[in-house]
Amino acid sequence: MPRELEPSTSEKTFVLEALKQKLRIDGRDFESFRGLELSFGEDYGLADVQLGKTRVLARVSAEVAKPFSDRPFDGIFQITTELGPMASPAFETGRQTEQEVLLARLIEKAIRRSGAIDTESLCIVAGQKCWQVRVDVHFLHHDGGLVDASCIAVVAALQHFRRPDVSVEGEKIIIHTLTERVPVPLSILHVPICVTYSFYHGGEISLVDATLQEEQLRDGDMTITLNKFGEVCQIAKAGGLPIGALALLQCARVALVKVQEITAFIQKRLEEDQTLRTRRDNLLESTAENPR
Amino acid sequence: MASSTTPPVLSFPPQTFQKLSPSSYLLRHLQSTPPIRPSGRSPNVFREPTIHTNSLSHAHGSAVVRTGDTAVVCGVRGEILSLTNGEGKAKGGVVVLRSSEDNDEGFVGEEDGGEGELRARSLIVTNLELGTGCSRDYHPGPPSDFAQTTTSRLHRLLLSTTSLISPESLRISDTHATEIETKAYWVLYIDILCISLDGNILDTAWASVIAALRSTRLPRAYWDADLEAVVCDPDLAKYTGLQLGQLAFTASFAVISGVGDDGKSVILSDPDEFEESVCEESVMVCIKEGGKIARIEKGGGLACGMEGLGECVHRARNRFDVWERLVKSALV
Amino acid sequence: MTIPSTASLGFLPRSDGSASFSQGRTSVIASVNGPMEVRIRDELPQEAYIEVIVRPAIGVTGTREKYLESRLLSALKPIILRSNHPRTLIQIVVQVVQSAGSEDNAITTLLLLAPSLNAAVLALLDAGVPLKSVLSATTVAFLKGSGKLIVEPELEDLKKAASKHVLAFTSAGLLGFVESEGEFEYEDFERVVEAGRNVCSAGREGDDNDTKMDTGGQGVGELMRKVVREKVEKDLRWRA
Repeated sequence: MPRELEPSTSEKTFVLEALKQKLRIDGRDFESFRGLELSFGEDYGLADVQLGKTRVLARVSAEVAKPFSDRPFDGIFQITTELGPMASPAFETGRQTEQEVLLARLIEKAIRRSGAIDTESLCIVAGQKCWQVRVDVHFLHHDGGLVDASCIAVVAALQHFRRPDVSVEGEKIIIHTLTERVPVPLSILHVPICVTYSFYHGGEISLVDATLQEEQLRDGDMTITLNKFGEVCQIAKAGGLPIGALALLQCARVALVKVQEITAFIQKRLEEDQTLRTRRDNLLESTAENPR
Repeated sequence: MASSTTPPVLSFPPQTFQKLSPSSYLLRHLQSTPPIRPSGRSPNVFREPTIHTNSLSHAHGSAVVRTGDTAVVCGVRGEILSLTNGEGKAKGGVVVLRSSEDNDEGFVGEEDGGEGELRARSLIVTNLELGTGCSRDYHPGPPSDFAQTTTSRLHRLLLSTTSLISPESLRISDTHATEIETKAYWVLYIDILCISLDGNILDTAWASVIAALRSTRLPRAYWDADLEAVVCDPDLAKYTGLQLGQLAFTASFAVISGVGDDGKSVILSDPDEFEESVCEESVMVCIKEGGKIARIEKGGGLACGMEGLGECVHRARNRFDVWERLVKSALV
Repeated sequence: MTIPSTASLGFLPRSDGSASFSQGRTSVIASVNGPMEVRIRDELPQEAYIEVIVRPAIGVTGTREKYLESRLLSALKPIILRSNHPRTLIQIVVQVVQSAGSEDNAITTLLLLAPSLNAAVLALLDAGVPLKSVLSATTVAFLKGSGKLIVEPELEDLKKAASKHVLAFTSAGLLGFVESEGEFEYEDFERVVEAGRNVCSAGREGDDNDTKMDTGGQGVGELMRKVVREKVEKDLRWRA
């Protein structure tokens, strides 16, 4: 499998010099995200995110399973992120690169461990049956910002998803089909959004949302995850350039503004999708035919 | 007088020629009249099969099928899957049911041949093992892609193409209750081991599955209301066979094109290892009782058209009769 | 009435070729990379090594994906001119975005075959991989009782069908791929193949173009041709 091509020396010098002069290659300022596009599929729980050229799909599904024996009152929530050769020929199937492991851990901490989903609400019969919610993240195109894009995709898909309704009758659990009873949304406690910072020139310059080229040339990076209330869910700074604590606080402050914008954007898209669905369902239901 | 300086003519034994240029080797054989394959068979001749059943004493059903040098052993073992968690009155049982439009309990009706129930509860588990030293291409360890694909094909044939096993025969119900309720299921573990491979594993493996299932006898299992558990009757005379659907058998073919000057294609029945390695195009036809076609698979090339498929169906129907006679005589 | 199929090309910038194909409620994306560097153990001295990877929408790859990979490989291998690029790898990745029906059974797997094959062929065309011919695939259901044929059926039609067929034809009408299941006679199969051939072969100039389809939409072959034509026009728009 071919390795990722390293940027040439002239590219490297050009990009770094431009940064010194407060210029980014795509013309953004240092604190802007790339254009964000979010669309939903026909099935509940399918979100398609485009962050600049990076494209990520997240798919949520749920099925009934036995809860873990040490947590009988909680449901199961899993996130799988598998980098495939579609995103970039440098990724191979079956073999986990360091990048993949770090990405999986980040998403896990940001969304699962921060308690974005109320797992207790997933319990059906304590100790015996619970809902197992699974999110599969598929990477279609890698142009940097995989963590940010996949986080947005996962939280959007989770908010979009509807699980089948269940009724418990004594010893029987009946799972109703989607047409029989209105499906139920998941219980979302808060919406975490990741913002990745890249550092250059000994920490003097910090960028938000680096493209692949900028990622390859950075000296260090940090991912901070917040929700719109300003609560920090996680901070990941794994090695790289040392950054001063005040700079870190400043990054967090800027990140909060971005997170609030993105959360509002996701909310808007969800509402638009909802109106589209109700309009479509009403259209399907209203026919002039008499039932025969 | 010209001194002849022609280089000496090289001659190889046939085996060397076969290794150096396998496709020409095969084409040359087929170009002769009458066309003949390197193994000595004509293109439309299958290898003669033999079946032996109930050779494994610890399995509930078994069969050994040999087709030429390809030999396969299949063992069927039944185990009980209880629908309730835990045992006794202490831990209550919770049963998960899916509601559908038609009934408020159970699965989609007979339209899918019961496949829904078999799949949802994983009542049939098939596994094909090729890493047994049957061929130098397959080593022990996790199943290779080919093994996984073939297992998947066999599983598909069993569940959806032929709907051979009906879920009713696997249910263990509480017949003394006012309402007949399924308390447990038999789960069938079908293990297929290839002991020798000379091409065309699918036909032989499938025939071994059919023969093994037909020879399977499961003990009588019933729900004991006092013990609140499933109990099996150890009496051998009370063992019963499975309720199976119609017989169905597969026939696989390899297609090679470029035979002769006009480049026509020849269909080879029951390819052996050498022919499989040379021919990329293949066809598989599965025939049910009554000559009805249950499945056609074709891929790997563009040479075989409708006439070719018609020929394959015709040959497959004849092959079905051969297998049917053999299975019926082996299980009498 | 069936929802018309849609396709698009070339939307993934880093892949050599990419395409998406949606048919009914099934939607897949395919990307092609190659000819490129091959692993030593896969290297073939006289031809390119073709690899097909299928990724499901939900869950991790299992035997169902391996099965789809082997079927797609058997359909795509003969049409690619492999001897043009020896000792290289041509990698085709199919990502299932949405699949009709949530159960994992034979019918939903069957419904994935034709869109995946079409998407893969379009992606190969987008990548400029040399091909012997172009395949287009369609699904046909044969209903019991009425003997009616439904081209590009929906999940409900397939559940009631006596037999279900996935067929792929080249633009010249040669049969490249068959996967048929159910219970049928050979005469029924011939009718199914004819119906499939009409849908898959693109209409030629000057034809009456009266392909009989319930939907009144265009056949798969036509659609694929149209999508490729549009892309070529867009690419060559610099020509006055």
